[in-house]
Amino acid sequence: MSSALTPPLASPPVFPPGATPGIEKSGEVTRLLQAAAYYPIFNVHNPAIPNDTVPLFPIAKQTLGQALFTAVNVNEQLQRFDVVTEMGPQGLQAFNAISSDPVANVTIRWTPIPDNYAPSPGISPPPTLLNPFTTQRFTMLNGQLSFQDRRVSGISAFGSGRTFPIGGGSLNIGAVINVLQGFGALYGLTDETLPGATMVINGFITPPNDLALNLVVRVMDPNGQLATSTPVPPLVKAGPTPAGSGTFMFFLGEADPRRPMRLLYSGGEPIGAQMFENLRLVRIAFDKETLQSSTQPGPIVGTASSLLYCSFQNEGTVTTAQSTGGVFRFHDTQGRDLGSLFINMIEGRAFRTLLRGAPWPVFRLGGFGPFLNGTGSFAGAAGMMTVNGVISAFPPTLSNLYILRFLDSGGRLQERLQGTGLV
Amino acid sequence: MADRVSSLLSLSWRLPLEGARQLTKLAVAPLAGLAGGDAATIDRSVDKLFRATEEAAGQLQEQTLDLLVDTTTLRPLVQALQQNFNQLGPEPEIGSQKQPELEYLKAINDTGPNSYSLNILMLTVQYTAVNRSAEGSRVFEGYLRDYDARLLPWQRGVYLSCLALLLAHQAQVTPLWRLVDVVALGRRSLDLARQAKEVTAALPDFDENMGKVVARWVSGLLNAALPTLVGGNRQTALADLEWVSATIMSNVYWQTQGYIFLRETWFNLARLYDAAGDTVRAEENLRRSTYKTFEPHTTLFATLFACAPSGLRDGIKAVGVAGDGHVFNVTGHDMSEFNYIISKDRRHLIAVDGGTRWQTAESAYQYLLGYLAQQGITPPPLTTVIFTHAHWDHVGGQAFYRRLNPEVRFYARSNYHTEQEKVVFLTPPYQWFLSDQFSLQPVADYRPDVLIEPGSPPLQEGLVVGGTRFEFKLIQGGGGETVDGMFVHLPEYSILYAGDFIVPWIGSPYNAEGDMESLLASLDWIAEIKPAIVLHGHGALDFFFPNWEPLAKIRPHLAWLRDETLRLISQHLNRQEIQERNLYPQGILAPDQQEYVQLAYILFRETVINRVFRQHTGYWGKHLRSVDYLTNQELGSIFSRYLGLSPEQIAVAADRMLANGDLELAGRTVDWALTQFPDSEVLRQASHKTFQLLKQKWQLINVFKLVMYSEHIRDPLPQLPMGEAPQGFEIPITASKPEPGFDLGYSNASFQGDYNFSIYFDGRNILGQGVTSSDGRGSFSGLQEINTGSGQLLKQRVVGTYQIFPDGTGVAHIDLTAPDGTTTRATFDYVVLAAEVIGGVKLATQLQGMSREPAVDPSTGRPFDPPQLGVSKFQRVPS
Repeated sequence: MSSALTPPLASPPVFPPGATPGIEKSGEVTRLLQAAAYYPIFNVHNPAIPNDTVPLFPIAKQTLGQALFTAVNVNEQLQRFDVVTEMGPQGLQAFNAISSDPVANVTIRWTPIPDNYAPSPGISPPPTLLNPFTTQRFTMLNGQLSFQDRRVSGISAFGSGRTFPIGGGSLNIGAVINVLQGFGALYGLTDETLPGATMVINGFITPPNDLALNLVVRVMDPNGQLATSTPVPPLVKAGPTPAGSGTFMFFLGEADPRRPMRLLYSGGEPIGAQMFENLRLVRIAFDKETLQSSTQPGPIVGTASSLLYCSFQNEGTVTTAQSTGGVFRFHDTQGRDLGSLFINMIEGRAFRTLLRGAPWPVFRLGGFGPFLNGTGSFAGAAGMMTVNGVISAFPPTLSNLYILRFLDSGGRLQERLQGTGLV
Repeated sequence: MADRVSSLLSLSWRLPLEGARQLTKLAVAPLAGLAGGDAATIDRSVDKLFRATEEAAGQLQEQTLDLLVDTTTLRPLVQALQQNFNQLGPEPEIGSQKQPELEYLKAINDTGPNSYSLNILMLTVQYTAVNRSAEGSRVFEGYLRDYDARLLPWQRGVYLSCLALLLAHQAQVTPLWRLVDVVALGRRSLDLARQAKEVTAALPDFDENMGKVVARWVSGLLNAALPTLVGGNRQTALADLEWVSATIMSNVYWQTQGYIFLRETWFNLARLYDAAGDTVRAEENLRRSTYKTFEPHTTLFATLFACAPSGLRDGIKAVGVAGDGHVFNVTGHDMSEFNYIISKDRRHLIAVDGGTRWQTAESAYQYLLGYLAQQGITPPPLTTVIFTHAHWDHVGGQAFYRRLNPEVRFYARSNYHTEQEKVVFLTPPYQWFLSDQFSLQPVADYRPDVLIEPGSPPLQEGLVVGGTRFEFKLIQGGGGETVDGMFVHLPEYSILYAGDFIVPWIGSPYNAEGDMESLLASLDWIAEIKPAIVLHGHGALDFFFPNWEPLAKIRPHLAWLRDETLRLISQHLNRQEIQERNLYPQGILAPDQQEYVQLAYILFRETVINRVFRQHTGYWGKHLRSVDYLTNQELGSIFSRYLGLSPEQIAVAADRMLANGDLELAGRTVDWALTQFPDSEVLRQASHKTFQLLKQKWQLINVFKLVMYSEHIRDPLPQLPMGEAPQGFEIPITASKPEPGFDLGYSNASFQGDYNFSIYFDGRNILGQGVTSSDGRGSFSGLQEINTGSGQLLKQRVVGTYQIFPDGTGVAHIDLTAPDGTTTRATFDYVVLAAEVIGGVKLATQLQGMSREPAVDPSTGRPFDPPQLGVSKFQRVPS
């Protein structure tokens, strides 16, 4: 690592409760956090390229192997994913489309793990059977995502997540992946001209082969080296997401100037933060040839608030994170309430990251959690939220991308929102 | 050193002498009958004899010590210190009085860097006033250390300046025998003052924080006061103080904001020029300061007001202009403001209120004419006068307006006579409010021409004079101060004439009036109409409440204070005990309360408690409150007759009280003693010193106390001479624009009625539930039961204030009180989860709250380990 690139204060500082050093740099740090290249992609299984299960009993691979397996060697092609979320006259509406051509492929070893297991890159966990009837943790080893751009860019990554059974042998999944290295256009992740990147996954699988997953890679790009000067045009040759994928909406969470993020202290250490965010409509896209990314923010359509538990003083590179009291509130442009969604980030990771221009290290935050309930238009809503963001504790500020995936298996939401374009 | 030696020597012979005096009295008492005299005469003879002995011994000691000190090389320094310092006397100890004002000001400053410079300065004033500057220095050292990374340059300058002042005061009260400490403190204070100047050097000369002015003012004062041997630099002092004077005087608006610094600036310039032999400048600056001599005095840190036999005034004269050049606020001629409006067609002059006397009304009117002439404006004739209420200081000058134009029409609330009868019956017992030339007759003669009452055309349709529209608002109960209070609104300019509805005394403190309910209702109404400028009957209120926002912010705090006072009254606490509780709602510590509201609250606290207490209690109370009716003279007899104390002994005791910060106690002591020894010079001096310090303590918190103390010792504080030519400034509109964010139609009214709620802490089997009732105006109360995890249910009383923002988010500050009286405070942020429109109001049917601080385990009273945060969910009970 080049010493010139190292911020002068790399160690987490110790401050008394209430202290907010670096506050004078709030504006600048917020700008640095918001500077990001996004890669929204979608994974639809191609039957022509089957995934390879790792059976518990290799001798009976053709029989028991399909039911009793401890890992799946995933080998998938990925499409570009275009999400346009709008505030229409009747409320929120979203159009989801995926490219007909692949833009990348991914290989990964997907492995269920015990609840108390701490996964690490390159280390195989103890054999654990996938149980489709209960929520279960998993890890993703040896991840390699290769784009089909001119420079054959790619990333290697490692992460973990959790399954949520939804019946019929299918599992909703949420996952957080830490990008370890970058290649091609993303080589900056290796030489550290790009401070860091995180990927989150939101979708479902029906092991071993059927799946529909949204992956969003967020690359911190403070110098704009991956940013386009003009918006990336929408997909020309596009198709719908597979049945059961649900409807995705993207929202950009930004610090609420009226209610600043507040650090929570206990025993003299910040144990987390009270988060208040304005939610802004956003369209994110990337050029598959150059990997140049564009972010087009729209109007504010809601707020998000939650209590985030995350030890900002932790010296470790990776810190667990979770939230409670999570509420997403939405309103239309006429100032009418649409309702509230209750979602907690039940599992998350915070990756300590050095960011030039920020007085102290910041934290890339990835996490997920199922919808708990809602009010108004969102009463009875089901789905999964993933968040891919960056948080600074000193000064307290943030930039989060929220990915809300609405499911409506019972049709209740669809009925309630008939004509709104939401589903 | 000389003082120390003197003190020790004194002790060595005064104590035995006192013993001898007492013994002599005992010995001669039986002789009284034989001698044919009474015991008191014998006592006085003995006292006289011993006093003569004591004086002779004292003179001898002084001469001896002078001789000794002359032999030391320290004499020049000691002399310099003695000339510049006002020794308070003995070294301070912990006093007997509680200091709730100081405690409150410390609490609001303890939460983080304060964004309102007066809050910081006020804490400094309090520390020096009660002679706790050593403690204050430690506190400010802590602020500078703890807030270091968060301080803006102006804040750093103010904190450094305050610390410098405190250290200098500490040096001032440190006995000279600790000369090394005195010198070190003086040098450090000068160094800090220099740093403050450096960090504020690049700031604008004057802004609302006044960081640069404060830094240079403090530097000037300290360099003027501290001896050159300590490091005081007279040239620096001259440069700083001349800069402060020139800067503030260069702009009329700056004068209105910064004149609190001018009196001491000019006085110190006078002393500096006097010392330099520049008699002309010395005299000129002395004249401007209004002081009569160059002798050092007990510093009045900063003075907002002028009080003298001619009456209470704002510090300077000026005209504030607003409303596109049609609205004029004339200040500084009376204790009340004079307001004028030139109608849109420029054919009518309309006045709002008429001051205390015809002379002051004429003075204000002539001042306005002078200003208009400067601007090339021909004033139209006065045709209309609207009176906001019938207090002495608002209708006393009415005769001048009648004389000016016999056809003038007076408008007032129809029940004005109720108030008129009340005020004619009882005037304030201190003349320095209304002036010693005040006449009650014009108040008794006051008769409005048009009465405004429910159903009357002016109230229903408004009053249009020359194209300018006036609207009136009658709040039930009169609005807060008097039963006939009336608001006058100029909707076109978003200006509200508020009269005296929110004077901190909740009515005249000398009369049976004031209505908290009506005051709160007024605040609710003002929050609805959101005037950009609020013009009050008295200039100081314009300072604290220049627009609707601080009024809206202080409303829940006043409601909380009223409720809390009533609760404590119901527990038979007496008024003094309630005052000493340092009552303040948790919500007032929030950063958005710093500007205006935190300081305004301390203006109100004591008087709200007094008024609520007076209105809700009888004439007797616990601890034999008011059961007797002892006069000051009778109480004074304790000293003279029963304890046999001499005036000198009482003065020594009072001095000790002052050193310990027991200022009010010292005031009572000398007052009682003067009833027994009315000719005692030593007691008169003690009285002057005591009430000077009390003036300093209360000067910015309670102007009425300033007036009473001033009149009590006949020590006026004249208005600063700012020149004869009328001067004007544009009244700034400081109301903020609507907050960014979304107006989804929520307000405090959205949280109204009864709510069931549950509360949980993550990862714990500790659940609570409760019920609360909200008034829809910022206050709620209820009960909750918390499962402590050990099978016990802990019941807690819930009392709080809240604010719901237009976007449906909000904040609540809550006091949770257990049956044993222990109180836990918490702040929750809220979001409305669901709402219904009922009766035109968007009512929240579900809310969720999140605690700001880690929750306290009710079973241990300590925060949970590992830390847990509280989340509460509210469900409205259908009515």
